[in-house]
Amino acid sequence: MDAIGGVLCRCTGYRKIISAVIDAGREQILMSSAPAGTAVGNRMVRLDGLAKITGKEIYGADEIPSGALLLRVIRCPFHRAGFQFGDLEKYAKQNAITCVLTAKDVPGENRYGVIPKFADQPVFAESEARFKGEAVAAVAGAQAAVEKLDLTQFPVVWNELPALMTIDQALTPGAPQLHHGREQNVLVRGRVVRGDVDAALRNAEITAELEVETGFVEHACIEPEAGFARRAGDTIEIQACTQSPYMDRSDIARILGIAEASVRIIPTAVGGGFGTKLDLSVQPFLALAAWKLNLPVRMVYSRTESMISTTKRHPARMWAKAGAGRDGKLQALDFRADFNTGAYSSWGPTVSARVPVHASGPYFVPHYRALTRAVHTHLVPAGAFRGFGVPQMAIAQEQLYDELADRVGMDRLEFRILNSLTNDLPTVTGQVLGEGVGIRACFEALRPRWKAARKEAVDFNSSAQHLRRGVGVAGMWYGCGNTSLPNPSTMRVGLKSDGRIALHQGAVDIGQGSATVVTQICADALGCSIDRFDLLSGDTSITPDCGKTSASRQTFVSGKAAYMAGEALRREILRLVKACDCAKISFENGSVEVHEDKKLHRISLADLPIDKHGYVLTAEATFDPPTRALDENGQGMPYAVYGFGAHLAEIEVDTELGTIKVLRITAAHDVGRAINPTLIEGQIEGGVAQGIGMALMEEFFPGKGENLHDYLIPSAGDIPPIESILIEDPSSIGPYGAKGIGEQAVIPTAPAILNALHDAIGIRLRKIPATPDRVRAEILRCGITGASRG
Amino acid sequence: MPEAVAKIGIKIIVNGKTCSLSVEPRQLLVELLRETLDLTGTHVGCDTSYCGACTVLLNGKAVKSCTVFAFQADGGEITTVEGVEKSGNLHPIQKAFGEAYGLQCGYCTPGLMLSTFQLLSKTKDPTEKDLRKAIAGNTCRCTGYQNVLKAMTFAAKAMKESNGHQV
Repeated sequence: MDAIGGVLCRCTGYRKIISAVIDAGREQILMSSAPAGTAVGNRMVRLDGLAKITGKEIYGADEIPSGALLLRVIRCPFHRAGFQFGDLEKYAKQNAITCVLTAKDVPGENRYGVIPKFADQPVFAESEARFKGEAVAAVAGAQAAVEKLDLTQFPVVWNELPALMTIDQALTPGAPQLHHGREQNVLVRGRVVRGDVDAALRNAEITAELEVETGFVEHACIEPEAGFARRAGDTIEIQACTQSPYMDRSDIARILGIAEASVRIIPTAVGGGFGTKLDLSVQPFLALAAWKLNLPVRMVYSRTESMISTTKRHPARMWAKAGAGRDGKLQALDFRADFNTGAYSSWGPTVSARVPVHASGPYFVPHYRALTRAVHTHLVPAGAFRGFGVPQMAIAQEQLYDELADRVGMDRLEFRILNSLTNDLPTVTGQVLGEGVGIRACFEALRPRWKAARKEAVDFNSSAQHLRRGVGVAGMWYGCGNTSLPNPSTMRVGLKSDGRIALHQGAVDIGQGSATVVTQICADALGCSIDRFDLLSGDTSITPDCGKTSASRQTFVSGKAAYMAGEALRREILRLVKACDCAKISFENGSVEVHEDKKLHRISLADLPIDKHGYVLTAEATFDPPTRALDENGQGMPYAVYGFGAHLAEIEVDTELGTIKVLRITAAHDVGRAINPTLIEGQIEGGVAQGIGMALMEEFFPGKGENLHDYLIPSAGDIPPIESILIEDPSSIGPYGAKGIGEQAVIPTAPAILNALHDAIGIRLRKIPATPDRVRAEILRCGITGASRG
Repeated sequence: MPEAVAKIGIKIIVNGKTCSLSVEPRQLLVELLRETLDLTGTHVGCDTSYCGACTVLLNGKAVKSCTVFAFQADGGEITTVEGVEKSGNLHPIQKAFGEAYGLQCGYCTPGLMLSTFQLLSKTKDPTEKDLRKAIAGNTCRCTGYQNVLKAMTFAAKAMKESNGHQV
């Protein structure tokens, strides 16, 4: 492939940058086993795949303990309302309901939130509901009785109140304040400042400015939230779909007013997460009911219930101005963004903090100012969605850089290559990464297709009428793990007396394949075939804390912990026979052999005592990536490792209809080391699909279209061929050099498409997504020729 | 107390087994499969026949079981994901979805496989357009469909090579 050729002929000089496209591998069947020490880098079949193709996998709604009651939630039908309950006891009796739960039934704190410092969301609203869909009460009882209820008849009197629907309304002086202490409804501000941006912009020879807004985006996991809870003595057990069992445990303990040790979270398989299953959904209701009644209780969200009550991607209102010299070198970026964070904090503080760190894009920008605010409104809480605000930010920044390149008169791809961050240049937080900055290689990998696609589009347009083709490019960088916060994962690995290996891995696999990846890493570190592994996954009673599945951290952080645990177990084995580090270990059934020079040590595992974990040898390791706090100007070391990438979009615009068809996406990503290239390509392809949705069709309007007919997500007909190019510019901190990919994959797609739209017909929309009505209106406003055949 | 609803007696063959059941008139086929027969491999995604996670075969035709009443299946033959295996061996479609990594979270996978089943039982050499059309009613949020299409291609090839014996 041309695109691969571009990478293979290029080398940065002293480091090896490998293109691992392995295009031939795309046609290969995945490997189900590999010799000891060779799992990393291979296209291993995922370990949990069989259950998924036989229908045996257990998701949130798939197990019902016998005698379980059904729970349903009563939700506020207004964006904001006061409320008063009628006679709840009478209602329960009349309808044969076992119990009605309200805020009064919360024994601990009626408050939770993913960031404890900002926790503000009640399990049940107390006197005023702050968004349409907020829970005020729940009913639990026998399935038939509860299913039959018409919840609009629940005894509650609503008093609809004026609601703040927009950022502007919320910031207006005198506007009602949603939360005490959050003046003008500002939840939090983010700030990164470097150099003198005002002077640099004043002096810049070329400047460009841009404003753009994005809407709420729904995660639309195909699995709605579901689970059950039961009480076992003084312990509450919750089995539900979740991305963050350990955070769930803390919140449930606080809500019930019990010790964390009394809460057991058993994550089921997760039918899509993308960030929304980091926050609690069904869990607190189930826990309260099961705890109070001492009976198992289950619930499954309907699609509408899921859409009205769970978190969304933050709508963003962004303004940016950038300056460059005539030589094309970026000199300054001034960036501002307000995020509509909805009624409760959720991940608003994280979005506000992440975006200013990333708003330069993967480029060297000497003078920089990025200011953000997360603003409360009476709308559904916005939270984490693949990229924590960075995908929205990239829509502004990457379109702006295209404008700047045009004004400089440079090719848009070459402009990006010229300004790419390098190992030796500081980021906007003053961090010099020193290694693993593979962005330039990503752009260069796109160059052959860029040139060919541009030519093809020009040729097509020379004879086309109402159809116009365009090509766009966008870059991306994204820090792996929490922003300047502790972020540890712990892995435990045990050698069983039969010679098998137990890996206690608490990293929840939400479909991306982390369980397979961490096992591949651990197997190679230990020097053992992956076939010998038995996985014990993500149950807070049997796995050490691996944090949450978010922030593209599982391969990098939990993977490194798995590497360290594997190495530690290897050392334990060598120590038993006092062998040196260079000895080779082979695992047999019931024994382990250690080969050292010409000596052979045979360890009969049955002869070894069993330790407290039930193994003959156990090793545990914790990894917490090194970061440093950001100062008042956002200077510091927010992340130990960044992933880099660039996408190239080829599109066709129907100027009469305003529709956009994506013809092809070429995606180059620097993943450090591709532990499992197939799983990485899967992440890229899925990320691209969500990026296409975000660019062209997805916008959630709270209070309207709360179903998957009105809220459109891409179907098979919307997704073009996607070519992935994997660049491996390793990070010495990550396991075998690996970096994250989950969120990185979605970021450049939308801006690349929007840049292609501009390339095709010369328009830039103020409001994204670029739905046909918006595109057509802009075509008419600009009087674009070719817009009508007549 | 909930009022009693007259139940309807139905006889259906599910994954090769004959079941005589009495169902409420409003009971959906997906509820019957998941709750009464404990076949939880058929999933519910959207409640409104959009996403296709609940796709099963009814008399060989892919249907969205959230939009079929249980009594409508009376006298019919139903295949769910649990019934695709033959004598303990994975069906070529299942193998293909596993080996081509045509899944991520796996929630939509049973529906995708059954839509593939319907396609390949009629079309031995599907074009890419046929493949995309066959899964137009199955939404996947994880994969971007690339590997799903690849899995369908693998399956078509494998089934053609086995002369359709395993279908």
